Amino acid sequence: MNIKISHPQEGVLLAACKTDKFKSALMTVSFAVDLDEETASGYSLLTNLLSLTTGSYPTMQSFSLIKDDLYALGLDAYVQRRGELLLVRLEINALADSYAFDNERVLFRATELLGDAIFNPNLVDGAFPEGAVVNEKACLIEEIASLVENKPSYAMLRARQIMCENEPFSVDAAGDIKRVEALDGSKLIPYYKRLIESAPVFITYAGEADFEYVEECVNTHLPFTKRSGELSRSVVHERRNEIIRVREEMEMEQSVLILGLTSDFCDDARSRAILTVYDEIFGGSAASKLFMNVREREGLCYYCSSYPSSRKNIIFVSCGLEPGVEDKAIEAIYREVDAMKNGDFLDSDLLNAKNSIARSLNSVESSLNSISGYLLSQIIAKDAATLEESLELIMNVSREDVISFAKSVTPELEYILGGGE
Amino acid sequence: MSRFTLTENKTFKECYYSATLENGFKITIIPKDRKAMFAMVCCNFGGADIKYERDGVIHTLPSGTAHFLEHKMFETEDGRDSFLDFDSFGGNANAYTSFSNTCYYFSCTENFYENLNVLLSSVSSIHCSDDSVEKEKKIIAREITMYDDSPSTNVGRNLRQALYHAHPTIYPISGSVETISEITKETLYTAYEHFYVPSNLSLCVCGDVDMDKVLSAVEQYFDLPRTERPKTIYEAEPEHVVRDRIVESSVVASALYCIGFKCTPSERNDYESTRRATAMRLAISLMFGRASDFFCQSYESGLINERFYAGYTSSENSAYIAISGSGNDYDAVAERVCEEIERRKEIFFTHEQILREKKAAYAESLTLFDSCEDLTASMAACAHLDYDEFDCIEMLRDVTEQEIRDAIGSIDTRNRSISIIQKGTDL
Repeated sequence: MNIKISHPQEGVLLAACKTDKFKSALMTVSFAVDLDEETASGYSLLTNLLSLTTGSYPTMQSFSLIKDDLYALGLDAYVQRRGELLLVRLEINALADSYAFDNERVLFRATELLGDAIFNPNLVDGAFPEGAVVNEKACLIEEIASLVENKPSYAMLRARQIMCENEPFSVDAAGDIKRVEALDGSKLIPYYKRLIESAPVFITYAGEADFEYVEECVNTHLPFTKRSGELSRSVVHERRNEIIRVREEMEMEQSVLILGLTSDFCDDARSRAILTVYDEIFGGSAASKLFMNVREREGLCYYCSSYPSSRKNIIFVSCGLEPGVEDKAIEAIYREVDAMKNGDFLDSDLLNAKNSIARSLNSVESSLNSISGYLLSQIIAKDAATLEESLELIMNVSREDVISFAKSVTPELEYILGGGE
Repeated sequence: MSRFTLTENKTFKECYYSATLENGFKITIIPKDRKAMFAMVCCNFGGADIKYERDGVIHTLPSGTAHFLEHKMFETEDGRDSFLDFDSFGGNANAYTSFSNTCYYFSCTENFYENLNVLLSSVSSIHCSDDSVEKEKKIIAREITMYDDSPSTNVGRNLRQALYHAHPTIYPISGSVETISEITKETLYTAYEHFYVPSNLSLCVCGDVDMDKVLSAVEQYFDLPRTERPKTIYEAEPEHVVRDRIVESSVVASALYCIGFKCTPSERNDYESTRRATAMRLAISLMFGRASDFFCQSYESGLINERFYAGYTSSENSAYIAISGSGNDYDAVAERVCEEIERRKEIFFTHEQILREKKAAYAESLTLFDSCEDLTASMAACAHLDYDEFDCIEMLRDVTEQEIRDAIGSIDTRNRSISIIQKGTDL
């Protein structure tokens, strides 16, 4: 990949990948702040407001029309949890200049709009306008409350909240209803100032533009001031010596089971590679032990997958079950946890897992989003391995490495969102 | 001499090669210089194919048969799962079923031809036992109940049941726990024999591949005589909706709603019907898109929120507009939507508004080419039709203002239903 990383300003990093394989381009601006239950709601509401209007386009319609005029420019903003960091992200998805009519400089104009959204928000008397704030509060409250409609996601959030109580890891990036309700247009200003004045900024670009052109867009329209680039590190989850079992009921047809497993903390690139290989064999693919045994052999569920966090020593397993078979499923999953500890997997399983991960890594260039994710990982983590280094680390993971890691995996939570009874 | 025909579009700088075997099997190859390659086999057999005629005999399948077959096609002759074979070649495989198609695909960065052989081998024959069919019923039942637990899925399904009397769109693609219980090994073998015929199959590949090797592989696995696809039978469908309102309770933050307008359908999915659908989609975007008067005014007044979405669905013998969202003022939304449609029949859009909408739609449609996976799926799905994705993009330019005006004029705002999922019990 043709990548260039630069520092437009102290505490501001830009990673750009020049590729001519796409008809659009993606630029993202991520502000990194600590994930904290006291502030998540404020950042979440602020993020929604920033993408709605700008100082230059103070009505939704005027902003939407200018975006449509710019070849349906996608300008989105959202918050994202990354370990125990909260990323406030604004991004533009623009038509590549070479597909525009009359040689229009779409990226330049699109970055101008992005800059307007970031540096020139729609303020009235120094605060976000009350009408828009009231509206967006209602939308955000609806968004948070509607998580119950997606049962597997809701169950995963509950599992995280129970297992990591008092840890930032348990905080939902969207915020919580009570804190959203307490916000107003003035209270959002300190959040905005924190982003603009001091939060570390990570900019990525993937598309056909030359680096010089990207830098011109960034320097002209995204004039960030200098700031500290220091980020907080994730807190290691303190392991319990017991298994917590929690069952909550909901009116639904099937139960959702989430198992919370703890493991050694993977705080370097090599141990993260081992975790990745472990997960691929254990429950990360359609050829994994969980899929092949819990779904295919035992027929207990439609889905059964594992979700490791490379920034926290926790692996979750999620599956949807017929009510009443939860214990049978827990036993079946624990059998596979033990099988991994006992090295009950073939050398071919190990090789296939490595090849599958290599395919994923080699597929990074397949989409603008995956390139952007890779670029962000390169600038946000100081010890990030490059694609080539990651591939080498994966290929060097041994059977013993996987078994040794597997021995650190311990059950800690059995959460059941129960239905059907 | 190559058996492939080149189709090019110089405006958006894309091309593909296509070939048809004598038995009707279609091959499409989209050359792309990317590390990840995709291949998809598409069978024109989906959730809507429940009743059909073959050699003068009428057959009826339990709803969910196409989807059930999808689950069993990756089973090998010796009872293994061909996912393991893909895995051994570094391929990542999956499959899905829609109302009209069943698609099987893989992506890989190496061993493309080995993975292609696994894919073609999987789809070129069926192997399942009575036991494996019974076991699969349990897995599919879990999949069905997973969808049943999704209110946003149910609000759309209920709308189709309120709009349609007989069209198979009223049945869920995966069937119900009851209908799949009727499916046996024989059901699957019969459906396979009737629908998985070369003239009803296509392969679409996206990547830097040797076209002749792809062709040889297909010929190796589908060296079969031509057999025609059975004709799907659609029962006569009254023009009017079944009921104007359908209400269900579930665990939701606030009510979910889907307002549907039953439209005049086409009997075939062809160029002309797709062009009409394009005009309708532009009309809907002009009336209810993010830059529309309706959206901005309704959003700013708090009547609608981010979840508001307006779309148009058309397939053989069914066509409807669906406008979905969340909030308890759904009747007010429905009223405002109808007012807006009627208003736009009288006060049409300006030339500039239409040009802007077409420009935006054109730019959005080009992003299809950024995803090999999406592009492969789109091209595979229209392999047996008289138009392709290139035509769909050109249509955006060619559709006239009169066609958009006619599309709006064709909407009968009285012929509508509303599906509501209201807030039931709390956690």
